[in-house]
Amino acid sequence: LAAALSVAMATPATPGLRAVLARELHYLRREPWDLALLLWFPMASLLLLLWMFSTGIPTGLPIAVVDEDHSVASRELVRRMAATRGVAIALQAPSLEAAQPAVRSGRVYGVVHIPANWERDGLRHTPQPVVLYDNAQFSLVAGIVGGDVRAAVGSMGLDSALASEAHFGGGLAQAALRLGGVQVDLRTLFNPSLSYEAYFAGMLLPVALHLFCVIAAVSALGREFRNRSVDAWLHAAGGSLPRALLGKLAPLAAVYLLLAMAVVATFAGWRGWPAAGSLGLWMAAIAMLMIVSIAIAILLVGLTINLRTALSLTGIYVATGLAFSGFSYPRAAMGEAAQWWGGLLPYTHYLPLQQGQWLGAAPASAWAQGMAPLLLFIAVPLLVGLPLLGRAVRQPARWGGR
Amino acid sequence: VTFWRALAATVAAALRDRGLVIMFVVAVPVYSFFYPLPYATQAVRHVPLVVVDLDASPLSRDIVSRLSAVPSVRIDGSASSVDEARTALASGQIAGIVLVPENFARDAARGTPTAVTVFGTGAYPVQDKAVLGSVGAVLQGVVVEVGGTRVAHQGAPAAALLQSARAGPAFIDQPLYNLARGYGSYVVAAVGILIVQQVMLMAIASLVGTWLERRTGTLFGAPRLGLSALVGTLIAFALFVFLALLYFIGLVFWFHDYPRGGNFGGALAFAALTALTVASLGIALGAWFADRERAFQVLLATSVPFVFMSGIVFPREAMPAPINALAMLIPTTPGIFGFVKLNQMGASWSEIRPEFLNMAALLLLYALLAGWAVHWRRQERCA
Repeated sequence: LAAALSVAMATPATPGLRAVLARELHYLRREPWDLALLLWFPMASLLLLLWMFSTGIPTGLPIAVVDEDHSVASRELVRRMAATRGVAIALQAPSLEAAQPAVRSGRVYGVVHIPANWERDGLRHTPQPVVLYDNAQFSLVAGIVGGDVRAAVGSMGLDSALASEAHFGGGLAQAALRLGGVQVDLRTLFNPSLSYEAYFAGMLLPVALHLFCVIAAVSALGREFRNRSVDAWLHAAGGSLPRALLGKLAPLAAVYLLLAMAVVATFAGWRGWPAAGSLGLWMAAIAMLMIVSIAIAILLVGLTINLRTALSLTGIYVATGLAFSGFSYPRAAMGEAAQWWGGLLPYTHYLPLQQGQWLGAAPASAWAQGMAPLLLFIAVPLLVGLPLLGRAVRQPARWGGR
Repeated sequence: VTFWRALAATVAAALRDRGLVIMFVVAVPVYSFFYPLPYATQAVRHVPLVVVDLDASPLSRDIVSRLSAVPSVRIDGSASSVDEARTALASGQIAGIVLVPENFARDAARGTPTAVTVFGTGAYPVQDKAVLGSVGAVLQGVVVEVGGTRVAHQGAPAAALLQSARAGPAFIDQPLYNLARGYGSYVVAAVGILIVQQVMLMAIASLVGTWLERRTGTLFGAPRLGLSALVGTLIAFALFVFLALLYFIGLVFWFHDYPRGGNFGGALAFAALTALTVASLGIALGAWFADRERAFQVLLATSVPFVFMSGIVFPREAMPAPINALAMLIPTTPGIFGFVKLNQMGASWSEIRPEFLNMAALLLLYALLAGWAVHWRRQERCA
């Protein structure tokens, strides 16, 4: 980068594309904050997000057990719960009342209650339920804890059913066959282990990059108006706005396209989830998202001619985009207004493209259908934003807005 | 400048700045309606499902009709093979596939091993769990009935069948605090605190940066800066944060009918502490940035890492220790846990001790940092 900077710096400043480029690089070299916002800050954030979810699947989540049965079976159940991957028994409390403070203080995520006479009543065919009280304010954790405790209880039930069925002869194998009969088979396709690294890092890295790219492009454009330096900027481009935009945004586009490719390489290569569909189509989609980000920045600055307001709009329009995209809560489940707004956000359209090509082996035709709206997110902002910018650069009275 | 004059002048400056009054007063209410919108329905509903019915028996049709009564899913047509439906699942058009195999009804009646298979997609884990959980529960019910019918045909005593049919569940998963497992109740309770912090940090840091640029305001306008003026400014900023927090934990949680008010007195006290911490950090950042727009540029992209670093979504137990340590420097980390415990879980003051200590330490740290940064900038620029 330093070498590229010095080469560009050496270029004599005759007006033209190279002069705009040199001016932009010169500015970035002089202003460490702007360089950091363009480059170091996003890179650090991507690494942080990647590192955050690197364990993939939470294990050893602490729960409490209240065993009022004190039977062989209840101790076996406790042993089986402790043996699951997700939970760890952090506390054995004498009563539910005694366990409550541990939940409220956040020491444990839930309490498993095994009632008195649980084993005896089970053998008499009047079973009492084992109850898990889980902290539903921690939705993801509650899901993991609930699944593992349910599995442990279920395995106990299956074993006892098998043992009693075996009384009718044929041994355990015949009993299993008789009990087996009809099953319900629940399967997760694509990311079957539900790795949270693939889930969270996989979705958050592209959206973070998208947001950083909009912020960087809004800042690059907006600061010319804030600093009232539009004349110098256009002068370097020989008076042509398209050339001025190209020269200004080229380094930024190069940085973000490279980072986008690095994100794809990180998941498909380093972290070991190769694309089930087409790696090329995924790369094309994420590259498109970066171009979309720049187009949106042109629109936001064109609309506001004010760096601060454009950044505020970035907060509303881009930074909240994740919530509406269906990355966690499915879009089909949202109300109409939320679905409609989500449809107006580019990330909503990018997400199924990525998940389809990366995890799901979606066909190219589905990809092409999904890319069409992304193209609109380039065309419409440019069609609206460019004329607005074109007018604003000729109106010095509107410059300098803070 | 006295304490009260600094306080009044700061409040006036925040309200008179035409660009920033939006951040100080309007932004939090706007976000409070806008952000919960996707989660307003609270429970996953209507996600599209495709049925591959290779059996075409009364039993398989019964399964389809029961599934169409499940609120979390909606039957979005049928396919002739799993491969055909799988394409739609891969491209995210549908959320799941239910496969009833050939001769399912016959095998079920004979006791020949067979299975109804439900496919979800791990590309969208929340949706996957909702589909497999709700559809799985319905199908499990069908399977139990079919098994009962079979053993009845084979001559099992009616009394035993009745007893097993009437037996309660072996396992109950009972949610605490968020009793309906509302998705919004879980997300917004946490993100609301983040919204207040981010909006207020931007507003305060931007105003302090503006003062520094123009050498005005209570911090950089006067030739001398006393401790009372510094504290007055801090309290004035904290007042805005405090009101925004009360608005969220009082009005917004009530409006959306989220769990709330578990320990309101405790929440008030914790809000005061949080407000002072956020205000201190805002002043420190503003003095460091020394620029009106910088706070927006820097803080906009921190929201997503901050909410995940708090540990409310992905558990702290699963995050690397250095990240957990770093997270303790962000007010939302003790803030989100502290407020969720007080408001939603009804924790007592002693039960939020770790969050209180963390927040108090941050207040001390950032108040000192704010004082030092302001002092440093004054010496550098206003001397």
